[in-house]
Amino acid sequence: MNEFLQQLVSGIAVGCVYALVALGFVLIYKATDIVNFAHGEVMMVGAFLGLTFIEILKLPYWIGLLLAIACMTVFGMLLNRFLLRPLAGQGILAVIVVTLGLSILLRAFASVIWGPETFALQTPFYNRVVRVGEVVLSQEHVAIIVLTIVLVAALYAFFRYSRIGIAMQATSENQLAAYYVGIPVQKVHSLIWALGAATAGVAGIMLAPIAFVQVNMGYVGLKAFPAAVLGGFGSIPGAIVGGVIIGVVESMAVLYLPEGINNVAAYILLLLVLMVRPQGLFGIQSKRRV
Amino acid sequence: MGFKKTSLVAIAVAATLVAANTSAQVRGVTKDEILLGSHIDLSGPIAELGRAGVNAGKMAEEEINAAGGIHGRKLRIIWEDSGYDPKKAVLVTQKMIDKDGIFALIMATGNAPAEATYPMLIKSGVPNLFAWAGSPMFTEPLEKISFAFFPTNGDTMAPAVKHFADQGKKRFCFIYQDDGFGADVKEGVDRALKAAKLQVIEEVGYKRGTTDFSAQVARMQRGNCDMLLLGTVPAPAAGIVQEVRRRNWNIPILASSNTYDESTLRLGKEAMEGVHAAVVIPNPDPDRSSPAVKEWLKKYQAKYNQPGSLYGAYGYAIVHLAAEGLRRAGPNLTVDSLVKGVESIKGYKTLFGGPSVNFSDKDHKGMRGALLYKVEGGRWVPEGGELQPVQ
Repeated sequence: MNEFLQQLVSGIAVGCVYALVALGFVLIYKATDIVNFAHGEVMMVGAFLGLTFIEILKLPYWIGLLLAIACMTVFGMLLNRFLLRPLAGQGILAVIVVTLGLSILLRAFASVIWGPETFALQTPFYNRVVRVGEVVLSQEHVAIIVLTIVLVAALYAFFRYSRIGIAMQATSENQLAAYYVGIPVQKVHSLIWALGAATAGVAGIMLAPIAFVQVNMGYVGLKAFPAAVLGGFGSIPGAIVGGVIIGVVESMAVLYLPEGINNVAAYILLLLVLMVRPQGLFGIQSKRRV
Repeated sequence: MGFKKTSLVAIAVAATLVAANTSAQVRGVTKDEILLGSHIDLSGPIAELGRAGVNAGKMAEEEINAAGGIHGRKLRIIWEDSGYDPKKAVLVTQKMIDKDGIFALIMATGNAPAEATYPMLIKSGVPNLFAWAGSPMFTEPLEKISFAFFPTNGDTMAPAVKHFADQGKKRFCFIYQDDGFGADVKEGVDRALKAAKLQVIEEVGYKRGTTDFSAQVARMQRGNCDMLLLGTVPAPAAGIVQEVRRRNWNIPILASSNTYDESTLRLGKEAMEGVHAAVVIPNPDPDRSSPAVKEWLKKYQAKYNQPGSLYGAYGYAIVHLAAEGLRRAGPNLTVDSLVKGVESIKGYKTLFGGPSVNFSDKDHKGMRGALLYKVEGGRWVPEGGELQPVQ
């Protein structure tokens, strides 16, 4: 039983990382209709920024984290302004190619700036444990879960109660109508990208102690995509739930299922869910009346 | 005979004379020079390794020529950049065969580029000597003109696993990377355990890019093993070792040869203490090497203004091993005499130590034994002597 709970918690923790990346994905997609294939690499940049502030400049962990988040918001805005905005109206193929190219570019730049080696990121939770009754949990994992809950709660409040949040929701629903009512859509897009990049950055720094910081970290994005689809592409709570489910399924599969199944368990689950509910768990199925 | 028939006969006679003349000459061998070629990464992801290898290789080339060459011929090596790109490697090798006319290709570097150029070498009859890549392709199936030096991952892991089995370990658990590299290590582990009449109790693979290993380690813990084997690259190895120690699990760990690296120590920190690794050639450490190696390090530093490294050691060792084979081939140098020459090498040791190098007409693998190292006080230190190969 203890083993089960321990694995469950570590599965949820990794799932939270997938969830945060999927969240950024979905935020950007909902508002701008752009599928950002470089989102995993954006996460990687966030992890490297965290590495720079915490390990290279030796700032205290929380200050380094906040600084990295601040830099990522700027980074997101710059990406939107200089890379994606010129693509308005260019069609889906152009956007796909540009974001794929961006992922290659970011990997190359990271390799040149920080190097192709693997780096360790020290956190205050390193090697510490938390005891809940008889279950021993790694502080690293608990920290990830707690931080994700805090972040999601903050985002929920932001979207529900603040003007900008509501403006973002409006822009996601119907861009044209948003323009008509005077919402500064360009600025909102900028902010969405900033938010997406910031959440990816947090995910990267959370993941760093488990996975180490290196140029290929972005492949986690390949797990975040199915997480977003599972939750219903375009649903923010869906992205979180999808990410956590995939993390837990993977973790449990390694432990309890025959060798090798763990690699495909998450995807089999995705297929099953989509067969029953093609719009994903929380997605909305829009039907057209002909 | 008419005009047409006369000219045809003339052309036929001329062609035969030309053919007869060129077949008497061996490609790449003149009375003054032996021309070898190599493709190695000088600009791509493993450029650091490649550049150190070429530097030391050139140093060896100069030493050999300064001592009079090989049976009166100077050794000349063309070092081409492959950028670790198989396509580029094929292009430069084609050029070296057709335009430069090399006698043999030595030190093809990196599994992907070396495997890509292997078929064309065999087809053109150009010997493949001592690729700097651990692919089993170069010796299985056995090709007369292909010789390996750098062992496969399985060949290095097997003696180490057998050593621990002989010492009484019975329940082995194995975590490996689920790709060609991991499969290679697995082959060695299975071979060693079979020789010890044992089997892996619990094993789990993971795909490249897996980030969290707590589930894999938990699964191994359930198997109640007395030794944990790892077939992974350095970063996951450090992650797994940290996870094992975090659970207060004191099981002895043996890792594959590529874990014997500074990066694993840097990433795994205190958790790495006591971890064993199978090793091929040890690092030329300025503090704890033989006088000959210390001398080599001094020479390298003086020539290139950089410290010599394990990468340089490989480049240097390969060129000298090639020279040994060429010497044994005799003054009448042909591809066949080279093959006989290399096959006669037995019990050869490189300057830097490592297992002995043995060839025969049935075995072109070279180094099949291994050394054992372990982490003590945050550094890799040798543990015991040379381990014999497992057939």
